[in-house]
Amino acid sequence: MFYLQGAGVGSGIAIGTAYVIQQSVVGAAMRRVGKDQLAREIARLESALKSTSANLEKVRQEVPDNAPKEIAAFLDAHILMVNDPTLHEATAKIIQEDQFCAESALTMHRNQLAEVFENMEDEYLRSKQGDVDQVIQQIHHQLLIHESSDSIDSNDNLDGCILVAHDLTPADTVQFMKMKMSAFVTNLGSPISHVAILAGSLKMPAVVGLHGAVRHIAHGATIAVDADTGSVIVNPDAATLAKLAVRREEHARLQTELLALRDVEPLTLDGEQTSLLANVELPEDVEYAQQSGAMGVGLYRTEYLYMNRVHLPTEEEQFQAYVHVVKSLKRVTIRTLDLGADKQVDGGRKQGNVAINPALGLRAVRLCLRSLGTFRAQLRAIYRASAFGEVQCMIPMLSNLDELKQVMSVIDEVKRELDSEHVVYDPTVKIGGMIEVPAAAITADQFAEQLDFLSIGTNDLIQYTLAIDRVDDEVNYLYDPLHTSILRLVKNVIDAGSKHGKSVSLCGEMASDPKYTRLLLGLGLRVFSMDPGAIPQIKQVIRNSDVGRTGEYISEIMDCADASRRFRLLQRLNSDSVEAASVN
Amino acid sequence: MITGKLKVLNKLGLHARAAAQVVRTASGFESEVTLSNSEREVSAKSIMGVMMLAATKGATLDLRTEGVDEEEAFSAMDKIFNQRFGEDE
Repeated sequence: MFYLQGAGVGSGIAIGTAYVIQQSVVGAAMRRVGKDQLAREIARLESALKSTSANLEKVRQEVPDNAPKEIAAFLDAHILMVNDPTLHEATAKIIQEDQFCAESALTMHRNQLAEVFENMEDEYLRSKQGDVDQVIQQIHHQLLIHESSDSIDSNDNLDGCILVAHDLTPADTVQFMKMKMSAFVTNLGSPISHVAILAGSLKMPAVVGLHGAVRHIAHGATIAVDADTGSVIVNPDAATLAKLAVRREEHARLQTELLALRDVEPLTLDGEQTSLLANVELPEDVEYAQQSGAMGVGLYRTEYLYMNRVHLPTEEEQFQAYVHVVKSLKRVTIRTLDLGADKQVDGGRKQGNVAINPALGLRAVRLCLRSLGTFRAQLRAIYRASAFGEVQCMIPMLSNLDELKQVMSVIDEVKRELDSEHVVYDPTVKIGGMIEVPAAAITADQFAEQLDFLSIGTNDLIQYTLAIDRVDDEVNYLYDPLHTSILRLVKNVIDAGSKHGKSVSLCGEMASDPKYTRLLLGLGLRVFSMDPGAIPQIKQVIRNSDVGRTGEYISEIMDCADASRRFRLLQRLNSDSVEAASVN
Repeated sequence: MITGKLKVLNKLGLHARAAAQVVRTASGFESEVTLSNSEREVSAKSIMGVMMLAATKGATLDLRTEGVDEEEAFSAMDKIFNQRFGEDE
């Protein structure tokens, strides 16, 4: 028995017989050709492109109906790549001008593309070079009229087998689906490559990026693949097999449990009631929120209505969009426009100078108060939608009370206007504010007095308090939700809300991270708003938490000046359980 | 000729599958469809070209359509960006 370590993707544990695919590496030596051969080389290239495309088309047509839609999408992308005029032209140009054979020219063009990919900042986009390489590899095969010794023998029965390969192309995966294998292991790939995405959508365990897998795992050996730990156990002994079987059952049980949580109440062990709300943006998110068991919408982002368009959305268009959400979900908190900073307006106007520091510039409520026509149209749409369900209105990025006063007077005007037009709306629409500027968090009591509810936007609050841009790779290591300043600000806002009897929610990423759930409960938070997908997991943590027991941990974390110790204390808080305490 | 700006809204940016959607859309028109950022200008009908833009979520690209069906091409491109290339997030 021995262990190999890679990156686990997909989910679960599989135990089965290894089916190892040996792949001969296609290495094309750089070879120059004479002038009289150039036309022939170009013809070879063209015919290789044509047959690669035909092969992929054939596989594409054979995609079984039950295959995840990603497989077909990847194949489509590969087909487009093979047929890309640029690929053809650039490679033919190298043959023509530099007098290389088709294989060499293809490799050289591949290297040119790779150089661009390697310089991409985004890790995910950079990893897409893998797709380009796979396509080029397939063209190489055609060029060499490579008698394939590395494909799966279709006579073998592979039911339940675990595939071990150098890399898998989407075309391979189609074949693989048909064979009903239970897991796969690859030398190449990373958690963000398409192999990983496929494992995720197939809900199947896989280990990728396990260099040397093909070399170290013998064909026919019994192996266990553990997606949670990223390990592959070759020839596991009886004791290990028994342990794995228990974990496999545990995994299956957990999945059913999370699903079953949809309709249970988010109550803590000591009976504290919480509210788990959804953050939504696009109309399609509504269904997702319904399925997750969200009790309402804590943050409806309206920016999408304004982006990627030439003209501003009309009041009617906004009204229709809001009504759709309001009719489908209970209690919908609509956030007024939060454009500016990372979300620049495309609709309508975008003249003038770009601010040097947009995050500190004309954005959100500041922009709304500057473009009153736009703001009024949105407020009218929100109020009109309030006739169709419970609506709350939330103002982003408030930093002082004068701003709030101005907003309130615009709201009053809008209401008067609607009254004079005899338009039906709910006059009791609650007005709340996003607390995401440190100034507002420090003076939260003043805001709590004036507003109906507060919502803590931790993403911006952390960014502004710690003065770090989260998307800046150079400084984002400083992003720390556990920084004492953040914890004190969050607590200050929650306390201000309870002092004035106003509800306080938290709608930043901290709300959807189970690491922080107990901490936030302990700080007094009861309303969490998050991506709908996170709701079952957060609900589970809440149902396993005893708010009464968090007290001493919380005060220790709040007082602790050492970042790594704070993190350890958080871990202790998270591993605390009533059962553990009764054993001690 | 029509020019305008498009914003990448989907979480993963213009990766292979999203780029494929763009290429399929652009290829449905006779007009020349060009996308560019500060570094390069590419034909929206070339998947390699579109991927080379390395456009991540939030990136703004310049779109130019030119030809007999330039208006339809422009609005079709605008639509597919708005729909996040059919992706969930």
